[in-house]
Amino acid sequence: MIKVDETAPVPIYVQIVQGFKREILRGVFGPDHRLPSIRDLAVELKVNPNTIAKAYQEMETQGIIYFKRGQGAFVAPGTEEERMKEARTEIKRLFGEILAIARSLNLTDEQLQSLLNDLLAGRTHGPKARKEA
Amino acid sequence: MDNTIAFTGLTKSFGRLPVLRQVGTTIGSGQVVGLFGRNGAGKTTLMRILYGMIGPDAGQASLLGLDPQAHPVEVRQRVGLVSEECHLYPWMDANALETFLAPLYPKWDRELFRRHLASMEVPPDRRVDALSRGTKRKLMLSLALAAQPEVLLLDEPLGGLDAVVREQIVTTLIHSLTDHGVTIFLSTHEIEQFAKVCDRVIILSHGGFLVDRETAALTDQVRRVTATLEHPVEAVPAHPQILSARAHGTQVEFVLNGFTQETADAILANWKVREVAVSGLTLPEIFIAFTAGKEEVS
Repeated sequence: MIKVDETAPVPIYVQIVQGFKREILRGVFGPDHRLPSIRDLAVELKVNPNTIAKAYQEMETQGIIYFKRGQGAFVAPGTEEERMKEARTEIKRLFGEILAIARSLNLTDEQLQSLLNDLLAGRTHGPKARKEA
Repeated sequence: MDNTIAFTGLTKSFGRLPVLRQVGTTIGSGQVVGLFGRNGAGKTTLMRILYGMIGPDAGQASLLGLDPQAHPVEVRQRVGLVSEECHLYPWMDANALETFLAPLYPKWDRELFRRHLASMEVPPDRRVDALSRGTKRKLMLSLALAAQPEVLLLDEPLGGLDAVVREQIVTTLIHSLTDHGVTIFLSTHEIEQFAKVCDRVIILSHGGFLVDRETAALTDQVRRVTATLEHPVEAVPAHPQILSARAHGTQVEFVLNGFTQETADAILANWKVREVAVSGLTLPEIFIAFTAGKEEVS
C-alpha cells in the first residue's frame, strides 16, 4: 500500500517514489508488474494527478519503472545485484535516521550496539521474524 | 506555455483601503494552484475580479484569453465559481435549479449533474433553504461542474464544513481533474487539506504575493535549522533569508527560505556550535513562517 502523509515535510511526489521503492524491495511489486494508472492512484490517494505523473516520471528517470505505450507503467526488471544494492542503500538510510535519533538522546555507541544485538538475538530466539503489517 | 488564467498588475482598493497591490501570475491548463492567505488578505477580492463580479482599479485579467469585464457571459459559461456565499434561490431544489440553469450553459451535462448529486449525497428534491451548509456547498459544486467548466474558481470551498463533506468535495475535485482536465484556482486558509492537491502555492499577504512557487519546490527549499551552542545567546542575527527565528539559551532555531548548506553554515559561523540538525517543514508550518506577525487589515 502506497501512503502519503500531507503533514510530512517531504514533497508528496517524493513520498510516492519512496513508497513504490519500498514496495518493490519487499517484493510486493515484482518485475514487469503493472503499476496502477495515474488516474486510479490519484483518486485512491486523493492526490493531484499531476503529482502522480511527476512521481512516475521521476521513477522512470531513475530506471525503476518503464512505460509501455498505451498500457501504462511497469516495474523495471533490474538485476538481483541492483536490488540488493538498493536494499542496502535503503537500510543504510534508515540506520542513519536511527543514529541521529540515538545521538540526540545522548545514547552512546555501545548502548546502541547492545540494543541492536538484543534485537538481533531476539529475532533468532523469538517465535518467528515479526511480520510487517 | 498556455495561460488559462493570467493577470498582471491587479490593484484594488475599497475606499482608502488597498486590498490588492500589483499582483500577477499565470496558470497553465490543468494546473491546480492554491491561494493561501489569512483572513482579510485579499483572496476573495482577487477571485471576484477574475470572475468579473468587480473590476480592478488597475491591471489586466484574462481567463481562457477573455477579459472577464468585457466578456462576462462567455467567461461565466466556461468558468465555474464556488464560494462560501450561497447565491442560490432558497425556494428552489436541485431539480428546479437545473431546469433554470441548464439552458444558460451550452455544455450542460444532465447525467454528470445527477452523478455528482448522487456521489456527494445531495437530495435532488429538497429546497435550498432546508439544506445544511455542507450540502448547499456540494450542490453549488455539482451545478458548477455540470456546466463542464474549463476553469474552476473556488473561494474557500471547504470553509466551515465538516470532515466528511470536505473529503467528498476533495474527491469530486480529483475526479474532475483526472476525467476532465479542469484548471483550478482555489483560495483557502485551510492548507493541510489542499497540500496533496495543489501543484503550486501562492501566499497572499497585505495585498501582495509573498510566495508563488511549486509545492514540491517550496517544501524542498524551506528548512528549519536547529543548533545547540556552546554558550547561550540572546537572539539570532537578522538575515534576508531567515523567515523566523528564536533563541533560547544555548538552543537556536531559524527557518531559512532558499536553504543551502552554505547559507546555514554562514549564519552558524556566528557561534561556537556543538550540534546542528536540519529538518523540513510541513506546508502549514511554511505558511506560518512566511506570514506570522503580519496582521491583516479587514
